[in-house]
Amino acid sequence: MDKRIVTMTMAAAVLGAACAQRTGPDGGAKVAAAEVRALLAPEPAALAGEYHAHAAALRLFGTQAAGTPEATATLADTGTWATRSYREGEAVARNLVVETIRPGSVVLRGPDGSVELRAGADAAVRLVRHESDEAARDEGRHVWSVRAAALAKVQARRGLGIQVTPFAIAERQGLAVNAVEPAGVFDRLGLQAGDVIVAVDGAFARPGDPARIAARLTTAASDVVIVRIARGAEVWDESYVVR
Amino acid sequence: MTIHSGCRAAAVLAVCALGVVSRAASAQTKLSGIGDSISQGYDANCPSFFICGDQPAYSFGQGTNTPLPNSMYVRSQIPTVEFVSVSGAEMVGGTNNAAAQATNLCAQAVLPDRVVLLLGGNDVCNRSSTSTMYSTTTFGNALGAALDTLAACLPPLAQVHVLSVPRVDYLYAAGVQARCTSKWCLASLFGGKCTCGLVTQGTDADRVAAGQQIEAYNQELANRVASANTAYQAAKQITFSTDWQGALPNTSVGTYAFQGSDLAQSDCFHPNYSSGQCKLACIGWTSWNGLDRTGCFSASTCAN
Repeated sequence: MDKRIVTMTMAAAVLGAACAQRTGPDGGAKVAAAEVRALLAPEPAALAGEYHAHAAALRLFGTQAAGTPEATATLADTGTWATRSYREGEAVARNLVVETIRPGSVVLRGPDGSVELRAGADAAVRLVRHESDEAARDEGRHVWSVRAAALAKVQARRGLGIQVTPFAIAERQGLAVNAVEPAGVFDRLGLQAGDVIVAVDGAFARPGDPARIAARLTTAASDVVIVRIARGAEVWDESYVVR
Repeated sequence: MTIHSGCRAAAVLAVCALGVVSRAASAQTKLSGIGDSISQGYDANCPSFFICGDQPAYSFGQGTNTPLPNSMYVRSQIPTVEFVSVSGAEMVGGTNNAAAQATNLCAQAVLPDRVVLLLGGNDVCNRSSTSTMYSTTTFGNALGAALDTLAACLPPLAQVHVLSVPRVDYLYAAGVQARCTSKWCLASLFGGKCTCGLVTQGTDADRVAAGQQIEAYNQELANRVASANTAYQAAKQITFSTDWQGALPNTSVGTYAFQGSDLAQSDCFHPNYSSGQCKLACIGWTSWNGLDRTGCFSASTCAN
């Protein structure tokens, strides 16, 4: 791959934004087989039809600890302002990887080269995602939009991906989340190791609840599952809405 | 009242100034807020952990309970209140950050003419170490995106007040004072995380470093607010202000040294309605309106 560093005026072309077309039923564009073969972070054994592409603008809010193993770059999607901090080598999308984190800038590697994005600046990009990437989408305000069919494929390929330990102390009971495996069902649903599943639809959580939650979210249409989660000092209800 | 949309010439500036005066004398119609669990009144009147959660009636900003916390909403006598705050939100990270909440606020059916913003505590508490805290640039750009978003949608003469980031590192001493530190790790009994581990489980050096970074955030916050005010007051007649006056003790939310009596009974961390939230309401309201705020920091301020 050409590892050019280009100016921001060329960023859209290098990062593929000029190719973006919204044609799919979910607003995403189809991705050609040739582009799938060139993906930087492909889903193992996935078919071309499982990918789609969106045009977006990313803004670099800033970087942290550049030059150290803990370096992160904080990127925001200016369409939703959803933000995430990436480490070097992490994929922003299947066709876009954080290559180098510098003080005040980040180098993004796309399909046709690399672009340096400075803090506070925007880059037009074309983001290729696999359907599993958006099997569950955090819409904000503790509401998740779940695509049942896509989540079912995640479960088939990756499993539930959660280890829990039941507890019962005084009048409290629930499930302590010991581990969450990357790209599994509960990783897609936003759970983290250290969380406590307090209740499901208002009833104290029980040992079989992770499987029951997954069963409802992968098969039922128009279902809503409300999971009360404790994280640190706070507890709140996450609403998973099947679309 | 019809207001000029632009104030480019000196002659027109006089009209703008008149507009501001006129607005100040007229009634505000709606208060909105951007924030986190503090704005949601999380556990503000709660006897035990994991059972209450958001209690917006006891919030410093949108609270409706009387006489305490004597919220900004109650003090203002504005007829309508509608916050978009979300427990767990950061200024920077996630899907409920400042700019995302500003977008939600801009989607309200009736736009507010007063907006209060208080975020930043989770930007510290959600980090595993001081070395991984957001840079000041990252923090400032996140706030800047929110202020730009608000400026693009709010009506002329709207007022936005950005409260400084609370010194969560001070909560350690407050918890020790209240002898409730055992509550910080109740969740760990179940395998969960301790409350704000960076502060409650860190070293003194961690807390000092966290405090210094919060101070840097607040200086950047003040810079961003000043920039927004310069950019939008003349162009759109929207005023941006902050309570931050520098690092002088007990002059703003960001320099207030929390006391044990300010903390929630349930978790020894969130501010309770009768003292912690009440003081935030006092600081927020007085600083927004140019009133004397020195009394806000004393225990007698919130005596019922």
